[in-house]
Parts: sequence; structure tokens; C-alpha cells
Amino acid sequence: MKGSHRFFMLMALGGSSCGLVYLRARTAISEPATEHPVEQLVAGAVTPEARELAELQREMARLRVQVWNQGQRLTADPAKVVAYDPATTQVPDPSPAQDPRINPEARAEQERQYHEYMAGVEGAFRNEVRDLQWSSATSSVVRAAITGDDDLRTLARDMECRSHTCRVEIVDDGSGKLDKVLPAFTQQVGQDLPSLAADHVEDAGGGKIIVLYMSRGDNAQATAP
Amino acid sequence: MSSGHLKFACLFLASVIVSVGSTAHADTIDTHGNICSAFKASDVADIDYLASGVRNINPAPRQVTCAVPRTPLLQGTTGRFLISGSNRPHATTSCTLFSYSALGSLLGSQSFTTGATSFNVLLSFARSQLPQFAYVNLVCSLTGNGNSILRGISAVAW
Repeated sequence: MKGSHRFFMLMALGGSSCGLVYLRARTAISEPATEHPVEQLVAGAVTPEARELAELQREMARLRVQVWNQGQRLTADPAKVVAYDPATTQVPDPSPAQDPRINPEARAEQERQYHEYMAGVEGAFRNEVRDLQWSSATSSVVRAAITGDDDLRTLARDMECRSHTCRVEIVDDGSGKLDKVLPAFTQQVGQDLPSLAADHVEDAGGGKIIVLYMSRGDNAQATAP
Repeated sequence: MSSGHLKFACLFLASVIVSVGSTAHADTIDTHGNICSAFKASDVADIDYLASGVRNINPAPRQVTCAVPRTPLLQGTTGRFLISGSNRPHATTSCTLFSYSALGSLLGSQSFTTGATSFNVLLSFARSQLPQFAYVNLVCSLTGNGNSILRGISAVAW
């Protein structure tokens, strides 16, 4: 065999193997890594080339982690960086099967997860011990923002502040008023309560209510995993 | 053909694949402030665009709303957004970043107010507040007379 033919065959073999390994890493990155995946691909014929490819596969995995960590190091807040962990990190799947706008099952799953999250937020709020000074001062800020807007004043219902979080119920009458006034409201209270989580419930008459949990920015926000 | 050549060729291919793969799902998307528009229909004539960003030329504060393009997040990571702009002395910029589900429900928001002459504010959402399929929108209140400029917003991958 001519040297050039051999070269191209080996390049094709190497490229295919790298491609296979890469595809496997992207589609099933959460699977436990096998010790010698390439050797398994050519089971029964462990050649020196196969061993080299296995070594290259490991090198590629190291490169992937290095590239990821390089990006992570650029963050402005290293304390909050989520480290790349192949065991838990999965490549997002943007296929229609996962899209809640198309797939009712995906929609139900997304809603279930969000309800679970908001149950945690509500539970954390209920567990907050009332801080009378903070509660009183912050309630005044929220109340002023509500009463200062004609539309919001008619839509707002119960309001309660505890030690880190204020809970406000607002009627969503479907007119678009709420969407229009919400940005000004969040900006008015934003210096005291910059973080907001929203829950969507129905009142006894079937009307839509949006429940806002607004928390102060000291990382003590009522939250759930 | 030596094994050294083969190793070099494979390493080269692997490097290309790694670099392509790592950018395919974790790009930072920088969006210029000129993507923003007046939040209220009556304020359209008050919003002015510069090469460097967007501003409000009415004497009173005005709100702009900006779509925030982003890519789906890796599971287990947090959605981060960098908002950049500038204020002349005594001017302030207040912004709220909203996350809406793909079905249109408000999930959460993060707000800030700053009077810094130049600012880059990093905001992030809890993972549950920014699922894979969700829309992010920024609404900012800009001081009048062109005293505040919103330069842009980045959906950051780091």
C-alpha cells in the first residue's frame, strides 16, 4: 500500500473514531465513563492504534474540561461558579420533544417542577420569623409603590412582609394592565427587594392571581433548590 | 506513516471538535442597546438611538424594553446576564430583568438601580426561574435629557 493511501486511511479512521467519541460524549455525557471505551468499540482486536486512540479519547475529555474551566475562571463572581461535572452536567436538548409549547408531557413536567420550586419558596417565606422593624419599613415602601399607581392599586390584594421577603397578591385580570405596571413596580421596590419569584394561582371564583415573593438582596432570599 | 503523525492528526481533530463543541451550547451573546424600544407606545418619540446605545431625550424618565437573546443553558448551570450602560452625574438607571416561561407565565425578576457613571451589572436567575425554554426581557427606566445610556446586555455563558 502506498504511503499516501495509508495516511488517508489512518486519518479517516482517526477522524471517525474521534467523531464517534465526541458524539458519544455530547449525547450521553452523564453516563458513567468506561475505562477503555475505544477498546470496547474494537472488542477482540486491541491493537496499538486502538490503545493510542483510547489515550487520545482521554486527552479529548481532559481538553473539554479545560475549555469549560477556562470559561468558568472568567466569571466576576467565582464563589457562585458551578463547576463542570460530567456526571451531572448535560447538554441541553432543544428538540421539539422537550419543548413545552409543543409537547403536553414536557409542559406538565415543567409546570410540576415549577410548582415544586414555588412550594419551597412559599415554605421558606412561612418559616421566616417576623422582623418588626424591617417588616414595617419595607411594607411602607411596597404600599407606597402600589398606591402610587392607579392600575396597580385596583389590582393589588394582600401584602405581608416578614424578615427578608414580602408576599404580594395581585389580580391578573387578563387586560394586560399588570404586565404594563409590573416593571415600574419592581423598579420602585427594587432597591429594597431586588429578587422576585412569581407564583400563579386561582382564587375561589376561578380568577387568576399572581403571588409575588420579593426578597432583599443579601442572599437570604426565600428560595428553593 | 509513523504513530507520531497519527497522534498529531488525531489531536488536531480532537482540538477542533472540542472547540466547536464547547461553543455550540455555551456562547455568550452580546446585544447592543439599540435592540431596545419604548416600553409605552406614547414614548416612542422620546427614545433616541446612538452608535453607543439607547437614551431618553424627554426631560422626564422613560422606560425602554429590550429582548434578550440567549442560548439554552447547560443543566446544572445558572443563567447570568450582564447589563452595561452609563450615567451622567446625578442621573440614575433602574432596570428589571424578567424571565417568562415559554407559555407566557412570569417566573421571576431581578432589579437594580445605579448612579454609576459607567456600570456593568451582573444578574442571575435560579435555575428553576430560567428553564431551558424561557424568554428573558429587560425593562429599564432611563433618566431624561439623554443623561443615561444603556449600552447593551449580554447573556453570558460563564
